Amino acid sequence: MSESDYITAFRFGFGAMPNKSFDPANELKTLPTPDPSIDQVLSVRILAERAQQKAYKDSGRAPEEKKKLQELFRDYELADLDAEIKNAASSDAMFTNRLAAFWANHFCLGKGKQILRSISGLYETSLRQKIFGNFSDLLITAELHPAMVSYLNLDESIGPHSKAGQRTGKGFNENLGREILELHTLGVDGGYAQADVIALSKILTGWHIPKDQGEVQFTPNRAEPGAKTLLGQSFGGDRPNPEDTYAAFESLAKHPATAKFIGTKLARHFFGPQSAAAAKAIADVFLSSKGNLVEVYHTMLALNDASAPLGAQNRTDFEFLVSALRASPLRAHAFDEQQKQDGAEKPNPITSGAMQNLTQQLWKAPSPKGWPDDPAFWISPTIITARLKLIPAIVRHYQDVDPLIFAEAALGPLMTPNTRSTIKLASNRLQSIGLVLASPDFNRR
Amino acid sequence: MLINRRHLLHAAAASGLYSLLPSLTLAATAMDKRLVVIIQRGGMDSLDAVQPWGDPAFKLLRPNTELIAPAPAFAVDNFFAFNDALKPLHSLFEAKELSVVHSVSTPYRARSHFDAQDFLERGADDHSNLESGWVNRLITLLGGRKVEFAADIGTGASYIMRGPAPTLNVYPKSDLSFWADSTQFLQLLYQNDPAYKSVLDSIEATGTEKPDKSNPDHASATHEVAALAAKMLKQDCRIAAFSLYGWDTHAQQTNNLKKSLAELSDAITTLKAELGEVWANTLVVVASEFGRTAHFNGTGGTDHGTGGAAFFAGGLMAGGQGGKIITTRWPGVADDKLFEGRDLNPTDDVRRYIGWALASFYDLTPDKLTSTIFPGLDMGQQLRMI
Repeated sequence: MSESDYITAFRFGFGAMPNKSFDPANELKTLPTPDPSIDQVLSVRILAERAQQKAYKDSGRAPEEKKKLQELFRDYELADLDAEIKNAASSDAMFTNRLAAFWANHFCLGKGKQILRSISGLYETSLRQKIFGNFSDLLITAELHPAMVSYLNLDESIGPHSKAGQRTGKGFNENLGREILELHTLGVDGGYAQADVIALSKILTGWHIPKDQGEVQFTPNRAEPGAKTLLGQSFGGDRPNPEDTYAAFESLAKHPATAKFIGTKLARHFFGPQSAAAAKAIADVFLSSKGNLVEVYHTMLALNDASAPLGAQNRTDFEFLVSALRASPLRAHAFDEQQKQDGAEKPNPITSGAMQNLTQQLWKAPSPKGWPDDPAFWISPTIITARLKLIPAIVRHYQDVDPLIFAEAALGPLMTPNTRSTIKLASNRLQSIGLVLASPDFNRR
Repeated sequence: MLINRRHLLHAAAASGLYSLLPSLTLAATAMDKRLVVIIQRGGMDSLDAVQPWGDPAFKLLRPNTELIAPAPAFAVDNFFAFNDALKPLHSLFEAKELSVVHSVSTPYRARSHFDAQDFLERGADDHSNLESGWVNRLITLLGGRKVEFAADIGTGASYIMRGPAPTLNVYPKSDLSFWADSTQFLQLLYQNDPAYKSVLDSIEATGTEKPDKSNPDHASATHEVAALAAKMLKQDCRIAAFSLYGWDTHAQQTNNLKKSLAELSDAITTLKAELGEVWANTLVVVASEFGRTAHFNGTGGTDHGTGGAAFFAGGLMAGGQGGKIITTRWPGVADDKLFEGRDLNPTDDVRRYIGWALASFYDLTPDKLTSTIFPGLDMGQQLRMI
């Protein structure tokens, strides 16, 4: 593999693939088929959680029912984390998985209600179905997903003049409405005002997860009636309906500020903070193609920035872990290995267990803004300390690999002479492989 | 990994960190002082934390009376009452080691968490062309040349500490036994990459002690972070900053805010307990990016607002404003008094209070503060905070 192959693999994937070529554009030719069963799985989980919450309450909050509830959350959470990492570590579709991670962080979830623990992993699966379509469809899927509706409190929002609002005296909050404008579409400088936050928040009322349902539905009786003016455009009327929300999302998706904001974020993620020209090129195609994401990705891959030298960005914790697991073929049972501690099963130390010990918690960002695409963030002492602590668990699986062959495969022409000479000095094989994973060459992209 | 200070200093000098700093001598008085800055990320509802029961409009403000305590639980003067989750701070308040500044904010007026936090941490608006945090500039002003002088505790990279002055980033969980005999190799591995090199210097300076989890009451992450801050401040560190989360209470605020206020109480009482004698020379500043809407929204919470409150604590407060809830001018919470008809109206710039506190604390002239720490701030009339 040539140096440019390595650059492409680091920038758009999770590093080089042993004995395989990687062309991100290939993944745009045959798109993955949508999996309609995802909504069913989602519904089953939401209903299971609700049933167990009810059993817990009915039991007079018995400790054993609470334990069952905690186990349910834990099982879903770990299963999703395991699946996510195992898939990213074994799939050839590296670009697809990088894009999925990008969008899941753009429309990010954070810590919140308990239900999120059982559906946050599925949220990313739902987004995956839409990342090769039109941005407006991706936007609708993200904002009206049960996870997002719970996370940013839309499920509690009620139009104060709706039937339900009049009956209960309840109203709406601005949480999701504001973050859609600030973080998901226009961006904070996108030219909206407080009145627009309120208008969008009112348009969104009506969407919730009904008590006996496992999905987000629109209930007109909860929705604020009357026209709402969002960015000078009027939405809705006396009879609120789902189309009002879709129309508002379509309008936001086509807004030039959205194109600019998404262009900037994509360019920053793949090319680093100093990529204004790339951001503009991506934004232009986003706007002219009306949010056609495949066209946007093609543009991105064809830019000169795509083949520029690496180093403007650093790998996120997720990228670091997946890249480390892909650097060489793993021992056969690595992904299925289970450990017992105090009689209980411990999370797999190289998948869910590993991720939980890194700084980046998947689907639990510290704020709705998501994990920063700031290169400095990913080389802080906290980040690097956690990676250094994790490395022993990974290199354990590389015991019979020659460190120099490992380093050649993982870094190829990207390996600096300093890294090469340092790993040769190491006192044992595992330490040597650990140094490859700890090297700046491996962690920058 | 062992701390080898001589090596560390050598490394810091070699990495060029020193050359960025003016050659100031650290005054002995400043050396004795400890500063802790706590950022409440998400926007604290100051009207729920420190409730203005003396304002008749407050009782009408949140009509669903079950949402807030029916009677002032911890009246601290004849106007304000603490939320009962701040009960652990009550004795500190009575000892005049705590004060609250109410109805303040930075001059930022839009309602984005992230722009508002940037303003608070940068200490100036985004036209200031400053890319450093105000604590970082303070370190330079005080002549804190060593990387151990100031620590960013938690996930790190917070704006308030960002800048040319060297700082530590530490987290209360470091167990690097696998690398115990590999330090020399890591040093070689990172020798040509300044960013990685300074990271390693920071890790080495922190040491790798594990937190004491034997006391289950004190096992929370907040407690660990505060205890680690205190431990470092008792050693070579003179400034520490960390963040508290969970203030963005859009729904079901009453219970959710109590949890966050309890953590704030825990953080401050832990600092005092762990700092021991050093508490007498400590200043703790607690601030949030903005306050919240005065009225509850439709979901039992509050949305992003403007005016908020800041806390000041420490042994030296007794000589100044300790034991008081202060406002430059109480704006009132009747509907026609609210900012844009919705938020608690800020009647002063929170940076003025922090500025005057720092001025007394470090014996700095006001022009130092307005030229370096808070550019663009009008220090106005002197406030005797300490």
